[in-house]
Amino acid sequence: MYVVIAGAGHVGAHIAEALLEQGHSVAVIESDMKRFENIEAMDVLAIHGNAASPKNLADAGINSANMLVAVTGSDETNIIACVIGKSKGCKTIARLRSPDYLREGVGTGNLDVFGMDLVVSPDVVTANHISRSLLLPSLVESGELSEGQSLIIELRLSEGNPTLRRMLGSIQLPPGAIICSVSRNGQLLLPERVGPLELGDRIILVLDSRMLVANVETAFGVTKGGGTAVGGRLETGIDKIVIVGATKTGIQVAKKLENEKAMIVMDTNTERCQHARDVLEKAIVIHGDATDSALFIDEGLGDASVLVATTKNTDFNMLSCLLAKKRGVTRTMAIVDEPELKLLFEQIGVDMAVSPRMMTVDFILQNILGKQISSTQTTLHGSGITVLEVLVKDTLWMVGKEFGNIKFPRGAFVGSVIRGGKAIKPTRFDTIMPGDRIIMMAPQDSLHKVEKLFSYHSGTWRFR
Amino acid sequence: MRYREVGATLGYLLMIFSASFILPMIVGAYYNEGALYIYKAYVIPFLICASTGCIMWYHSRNRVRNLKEGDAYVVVGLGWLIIAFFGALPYITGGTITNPIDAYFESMSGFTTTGASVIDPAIGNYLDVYPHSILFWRALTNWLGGLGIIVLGAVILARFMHGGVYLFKAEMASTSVTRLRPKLYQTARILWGVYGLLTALCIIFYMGAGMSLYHAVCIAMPTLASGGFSLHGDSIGFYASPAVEIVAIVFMFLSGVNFVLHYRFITGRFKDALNDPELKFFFVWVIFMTSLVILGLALSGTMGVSGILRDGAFQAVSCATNTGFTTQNGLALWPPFVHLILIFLMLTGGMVGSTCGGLKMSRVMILLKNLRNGMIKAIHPRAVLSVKIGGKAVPETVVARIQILLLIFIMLFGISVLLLCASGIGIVDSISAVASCMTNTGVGIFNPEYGFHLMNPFARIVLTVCMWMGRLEIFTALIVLAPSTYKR
Repeated sequence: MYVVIAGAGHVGAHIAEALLEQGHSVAVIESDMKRFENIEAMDVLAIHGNAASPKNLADAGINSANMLVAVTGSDETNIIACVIGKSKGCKTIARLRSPDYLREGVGTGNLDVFGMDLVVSPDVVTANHISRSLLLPSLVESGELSEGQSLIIELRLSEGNPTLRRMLGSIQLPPGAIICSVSRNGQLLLPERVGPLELGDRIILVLDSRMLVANVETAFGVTKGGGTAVGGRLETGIDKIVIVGATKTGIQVAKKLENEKAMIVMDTNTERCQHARDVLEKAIVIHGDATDSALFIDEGLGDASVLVATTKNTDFNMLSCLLAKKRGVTRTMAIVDEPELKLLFEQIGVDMAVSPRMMTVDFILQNILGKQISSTQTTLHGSGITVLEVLVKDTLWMVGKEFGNIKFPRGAFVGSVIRGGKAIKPTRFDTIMPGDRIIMMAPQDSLHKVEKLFSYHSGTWRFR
Repeated sequence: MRYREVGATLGYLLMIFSASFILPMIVGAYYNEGALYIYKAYVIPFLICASTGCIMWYHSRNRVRNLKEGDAYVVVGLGWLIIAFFGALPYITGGTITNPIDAYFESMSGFTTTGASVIDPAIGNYLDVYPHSILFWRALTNWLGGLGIIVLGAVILARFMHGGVYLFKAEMASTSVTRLRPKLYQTARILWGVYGLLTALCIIFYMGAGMSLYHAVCIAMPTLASGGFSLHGDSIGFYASPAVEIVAIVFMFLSGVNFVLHYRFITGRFKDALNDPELKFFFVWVIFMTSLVILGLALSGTMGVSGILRDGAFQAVSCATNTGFTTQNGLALWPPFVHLILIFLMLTGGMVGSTCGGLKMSRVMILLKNLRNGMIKAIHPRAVLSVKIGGKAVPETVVARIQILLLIFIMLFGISVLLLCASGIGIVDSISAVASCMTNTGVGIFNPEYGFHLMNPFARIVLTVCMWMGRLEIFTALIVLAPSTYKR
């Protein structure tokens, strides 16, 4: 596949790198000299200049490209580039930040109003992720499988968990949930080899996306306050949410949950507060500094269940999270600019750090690669585990063979198989059928071997 | 530098390179040179080269994927030294050039497309003394080195090897390569395709001018590679045919043109190809210098009119494209004015992206324009200036890099001349030998009765290093030589 990428910032460069890794051809247009020089060191066709210029796009080979990914810093440039790309018959993906360019009712999937194939709003993607995690309190990380039909989740066992030192088999799981693997000290273990559960184990499960994650969590006893499903709605023990920073992301999260939870939005900027007041209906908007201890006590924020710091200032986010934790808030989440800082944040006590850039990259890549090739990688950012999902085509060499007869690379094993929309745990003697989606668990360094194993098709010995 | 990554990649390259020993085997078999000779001269080197490559690769085979930029410079720098070593084996094992230093000089001269030879031109027709296959091998080393042998290997191995981009950058030198396709190896494949096509054309034209197939192949390969190995002591002069000389002049000039432009021309984008500022400059430069050579020869009054035009034009183009063919042995008797112009032509070289050596035209253009900017700056101290080529500003870092390159070039030039003089060679001969080797030209403007074949072993070693550095445009070679590269 030939992909033209407009903009070589963090997101553009990451996408280019991932596509090259998969063996695709990439052209990149970038106007900033520094970034251009960086991108030129990669095996891509690099063009220096404005990405909205038809000439530059032509130089980048838009006429023969399959896809255009517009991720420059400017929405307008992205739109113009995509309009040109569309006229040349490309599939187009654009990152748009300003709500002015997005379809109303954000968060419902298709945001596009310009005829692009996919529009990514980092704020919406991040807000969706945050609000999903807010409803599932102990969930470390989740990802979607088989185009949204199934969900892969990762649970971390913390101190005082009732399942500690118990065997996996003794845990009563709700039907439809399959344990793929347990990650212990960075190693992926086969479920039957796990033994008694230990502190810090991360349990990786696949389940139907219509199922309530809370049920699984109850089974593992990890939900604060029990967690029961009431009429399809989630009651997860969260009652009061504080959002620091009336940014686009902050407002998105507040909007999504303000009808269900007590919501407090704080910002130090008067204008942003007024804007938040105008957009939000039930949430309380407070003009003030979240790190101000007097205000914190006055407003009684200490008894909040969650504090989400969504300001543009990463340092401030960290500070407000750590202070809030000290003043009694149960969980904190922060937005970080640099993906590299994410793990650091989680190490020093922020419960979950979200990088909008990383979310954008993952979202775009899933959409590019998920449709082109039959295998998708989903990374659970908490533990850095990458899960490989392979769609079995009827020409794949292993169709009709039994799972037990296939020699997988060392350390790799089948976590689960999604057959007919249902997750099952295959035995050695189950045969592989076309249409199966195999969830492979593998250590990072042998992932490419697993992918290669699935790339041989009958009648041909060539690499895909 | 990481030894295992470098070792694995070099192993891969050696395995691929060993395949090139098969061609001279076929030539040898065709000319009935005897199984024993073929076995000694080609099968043994083939086995040594392939097994060395295998061992190096197998030893660290799982590290090939991790090649990084710093390693790539070492791979390219060492790669040329090692490949020249294996390329020298047929001379030694076959018994044609028995002294290892001489054989290595000949091999390095071949791969770097220099064309300086240790064979005594007084032999006359080399085919009287040497087997067909070894002379074919000589020409083949020229051709393989033409567009860069490491890149050729990387193109063939593109599916297995990573870090190809860095190999390109390290071998195809400091200026960026115009990319015709998003992936560099696709671009390189196109360029090698164009190279092969032009070589085939050149063979046909030489045959049309009356050469036998063997001669046409063995002369066409050095012509396109701007190498300069020939089959006779009198080089192209041996054929004594104006048609052959015209074909040689045309194809030597083409070998000095950026192969990207050839590709554009072949694919019908004539305007793009012909409007290239560097091409225009190169064309005007060659015409201008050729007329100076002709003028110089005419003023000396020692030659006839047709001789002046034929030999003058041939020699000027041969030097400007760093090929190093000659049409006559009396070069030493030409006036000193012409000698200097020829040396100057060698130093400036052909276009970027061609098979030429030397400084390269675009760098000369940038240096000249920068010189003009310097003068403007003296008059208008606050002027904001940039060096523009074809309406596009050249980044200041690039200009600075070229200035440094020129400086290092001059320095190394001086040191090499000094070393040669120290070994007892006269000053004129030293300068011309170093100029010829550092620019990969291969024609020496020596005193009568002197030449590469008479030099002492020390001078040969110095010149071998010069050829190697010149081919890698100095920076890559310096990285390999710098002790800091090997610190962990």
